[in-house]
Amino acid sequence: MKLSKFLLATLLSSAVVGVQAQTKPVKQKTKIVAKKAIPKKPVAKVKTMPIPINKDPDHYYCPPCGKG
Amino acid sequence: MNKPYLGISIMPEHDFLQAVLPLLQDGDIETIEWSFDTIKFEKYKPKWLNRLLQEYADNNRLIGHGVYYSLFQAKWSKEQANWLKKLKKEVEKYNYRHISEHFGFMSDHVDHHKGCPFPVPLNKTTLAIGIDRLQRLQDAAQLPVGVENLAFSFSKYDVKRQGEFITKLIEPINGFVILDLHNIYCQSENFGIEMMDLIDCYPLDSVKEIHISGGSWQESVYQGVIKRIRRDTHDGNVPKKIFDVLPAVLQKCKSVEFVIFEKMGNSFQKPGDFVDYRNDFNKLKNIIENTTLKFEAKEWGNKIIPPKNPIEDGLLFTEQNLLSRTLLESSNYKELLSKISLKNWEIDKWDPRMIDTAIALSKKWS
Repeated sequence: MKLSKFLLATLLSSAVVGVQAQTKPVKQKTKIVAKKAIPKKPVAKVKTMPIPINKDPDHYYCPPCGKG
Repeated sequence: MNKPYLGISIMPEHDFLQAVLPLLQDGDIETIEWSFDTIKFEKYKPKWLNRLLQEYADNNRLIGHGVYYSLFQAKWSKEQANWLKKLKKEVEKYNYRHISEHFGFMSDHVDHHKGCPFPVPLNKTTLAIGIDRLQRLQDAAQLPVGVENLAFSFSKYDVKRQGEFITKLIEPINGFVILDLHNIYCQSENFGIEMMDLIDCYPLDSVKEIHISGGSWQESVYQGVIKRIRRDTHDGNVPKKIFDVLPAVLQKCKSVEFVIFEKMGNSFQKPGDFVDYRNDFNKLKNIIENTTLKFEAKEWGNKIIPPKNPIEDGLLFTEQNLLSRTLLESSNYKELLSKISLKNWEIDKWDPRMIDTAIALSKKWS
């Protein structure tokens, strides 16, 4: 099925963002988190971070099937 | 429709998106299956996924696959009622073609997300419970409903009977079967039965969807002999035997509409995994294109209204929980057998290696 150009562009940019998020040096990532988390609600900030889901699958995502 | 649509089970991980993106760009993904209950909160669903689901739904190419309904849980629970409420919202949001679920009950009856599916005794009680739950599912979704065969069995005796049981299970709702060929492969390898012999036990006229995936091996030692147990972990490449049987299976399943390729989103560990994923998909594409098929259209589903009160069985529920808990607390089959006595299951027929596998499964997902 051919997808719309708009959707393909969205997918492409999301894939690129994902790569960037995963390849960022750990130190730099921590620094950014701390910066964002300092204000009033640090816990909420951490939750909305773009953490790749596969880094912590049990936290909020349960794998479909494959439980065999 | 001459050929089934070839599609994928979509995953929210970035790695998965990267693996599948070239196939999406080439227009090779004809359909998408979404396990709508695997994300606990909507805010954790990536935006690209919502857009992708919407596009396939708008083109009538989206199918839904439940994991956590717990079809055979012997006591109706709030969690199941909530699951149906969420399903209603989901089918209002997206135009799904059908909804399916897995055979078995979830080992954690309080939080299904924490457990894993285990088989039930194949008797009149479980059949009545399963039919009741499927009727509720169909009534909530107002769509055709199907059931997937399970990868795991405690005994060879049950493996051979699962097909016949599923035939009876789907009949009242005019439902369909998802024939998961890797699940068949697991049973075939673990119990020494030819894949086609097992496949022929299922109601092949009722197969609307076929699942293809890979898995992994676990070593099990019994009476000093090491045996490999095949597990449905969806993290490896598709075994050659599955590609080999697929043409014959497609010809036997004349009403199959979808072939879905599954791989876990967190299983792309090295660069080669991305290439392997696309290679396996392209092998499936070639097989479907090069197999001569005679499609027979079939009507699915009906308007049957479920009984007001859910069917329940107190003893079975107690034993389901006892089994789940004992699996979690035991370190091997000997320990489990020394602790447990069940009226609903024929424990004397259970394969010790499969008990050990169930213990490993239980600990992994608890």
